[in-house]
Amino acid sequence: MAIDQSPIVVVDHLSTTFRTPRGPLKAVNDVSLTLERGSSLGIVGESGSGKTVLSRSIIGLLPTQNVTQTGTATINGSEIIGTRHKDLLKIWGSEVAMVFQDPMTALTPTRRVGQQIAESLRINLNLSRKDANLRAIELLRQVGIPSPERRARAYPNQLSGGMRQRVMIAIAIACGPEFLVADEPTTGLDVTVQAQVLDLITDLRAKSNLTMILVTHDLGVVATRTDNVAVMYAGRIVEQAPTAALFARVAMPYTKGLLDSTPRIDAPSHTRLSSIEGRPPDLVNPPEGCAFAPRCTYATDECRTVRPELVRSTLDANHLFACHHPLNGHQAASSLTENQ
Amino acid sequence: MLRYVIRRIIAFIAIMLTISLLSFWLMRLLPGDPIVKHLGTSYTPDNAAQFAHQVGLDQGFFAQYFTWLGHALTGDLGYSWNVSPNSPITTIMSKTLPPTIEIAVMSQIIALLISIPMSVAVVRRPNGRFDRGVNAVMLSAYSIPTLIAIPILTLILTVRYSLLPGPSSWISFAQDPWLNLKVCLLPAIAISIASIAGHFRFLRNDMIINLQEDFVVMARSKGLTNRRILWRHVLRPSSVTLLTSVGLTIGGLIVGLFVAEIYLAIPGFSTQVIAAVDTSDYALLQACIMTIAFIVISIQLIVNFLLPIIDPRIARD
Repeated sequence: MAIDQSPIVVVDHLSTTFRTPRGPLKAVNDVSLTLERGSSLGIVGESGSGKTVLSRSIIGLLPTQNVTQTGTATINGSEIIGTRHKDLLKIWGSEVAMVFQDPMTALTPTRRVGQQIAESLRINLNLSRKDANLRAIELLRQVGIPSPERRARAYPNQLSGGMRQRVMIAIAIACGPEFLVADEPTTGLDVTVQAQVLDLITDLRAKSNLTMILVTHDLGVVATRTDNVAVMYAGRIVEQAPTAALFARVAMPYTKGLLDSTPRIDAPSHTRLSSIEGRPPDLVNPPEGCAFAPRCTYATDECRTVRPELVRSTLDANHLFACHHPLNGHQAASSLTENQ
Repeated sequence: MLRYVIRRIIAFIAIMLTISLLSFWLMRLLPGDPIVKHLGTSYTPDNAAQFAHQVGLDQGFFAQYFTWLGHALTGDLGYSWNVSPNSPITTIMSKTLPPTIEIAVMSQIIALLISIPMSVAVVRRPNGRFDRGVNAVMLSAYSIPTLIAIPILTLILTVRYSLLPGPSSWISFAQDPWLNLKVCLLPAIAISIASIAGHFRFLRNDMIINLQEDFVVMARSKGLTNRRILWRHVLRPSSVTLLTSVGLTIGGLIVGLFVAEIYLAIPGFSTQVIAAVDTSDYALLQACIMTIAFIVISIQLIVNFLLPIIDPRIARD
């Protein structure tokens, strides 16, 4: 059988709007992206930039009440946006899976962890109770949990944070999904445990050619674990590039701000950490022009009135940015929309 | 765990002792003279003195109390004075308690059988039309006193449709089990109305809160149906609130049982308590109060014991 070369995830002009008491809130605004099979995309941005909503929109996991979505998102060719819950059930768990930020709140507190893995196996793969339980123990061993037979009978609150995150990963990979969304998978963990969990995800991905979206605000994690990076601000992708290219030559002042606010180990002690002044804009009343302009030191009148489109760079056709005053010699080659 | 059990048992004993002392004192402040009630027309000062001596009323308060306590601790509750003179109280209890417990348990089974599926059904769409409709009905039901519910139910179920036996048709389980259950059903339904509404409100609100939790999104991402998520992942954590509600209902339940037994002339525990008050039967009344206290405290104890089993996050201490 020939290897399928088509992209596994295609998102096209996707917007997600929440109905709030204050008015419609566009959490994801006209986002397009593609993921090749086996690749990993990091989505970075501040809190409230829309990265979590985007990742959940792509797999159809948002609640339906008070949410409207436009555009399309396909996984393995099947449309997600507007698809009935009943049909999404067939994809969830078996084709796509998710790992959440806080394994304490994301595991059901009243069910044994073994049950929580076995349940997915029984429903998606039609395994018998006995087979599912054996397979669950096997999965726990696979994610590096010592004495899995005993741990399978534990409740989530009886495990450490790192072990809970391993359990969550075991649940996610249980039914052999092709696409994994990891939403801040290491944020709540100790630094040493973070590395272990990320290594585990990397190993598992390599074994089964798993495609991944890694949502995080930690650029250090992105730098080492992803092939591509998309930087989000106010619901839009403002810069997107292969990971190495992005870190080598940042185009967006916002991305530069994020990089500068990362602590550096080679800086002298007591160095003041730089930060981006101001707060992200209110998405119910988004500003005209560039959403980042009010916080940007390079902003001109043009930035405050005309919103920059996401364009290709003349230096690198894979490097996209949305800025009137790009850094490091980047220049707009052509609008993406004209290109397509 | 052992420390927890010991602490609970000590608290249990302390509460029982306090209640026994208070009630022993308070009932002696009730209007009505037990000696007069006991002797009636055959009252003479000699008879009165003799009866007072026989039941210990000629002694001081604490002497009476400790005599009673000493006997009670060995399981001897003494004899009834006036309700059915000279019958052992333990025998009276064994006859009057079963109908009352039967009705109470039946009402709670009905309440849980209705309130749990109802809550699960409405939280599929919180604040949707169905949810608001059911909420309105439940609020109305909550405002119906048992005193009103019983005659209305009697009119509908007995008079109009002849489905259930009406008042004064008591028959014990031993005599005719099927008919006995039918007799118990009407008061059980009447008493369950308030419990249904109470349990429903607690459980619905708690399930709605739990539905916002990450573990629900996680369960969805595993491809589980909404039905399975509600029954397997949300109901159990929310049962903590439900069980607390069951514990809280007991007070209202006892009041409801009193009303139901009087209305329907059921020879149960409540009827007997009222007779004991009426005739100043101190010995019987004391035993009744201790029984109620024992049941109420035990249920709270059981609830406290069950909570950590339902939700392992809850610590025993």
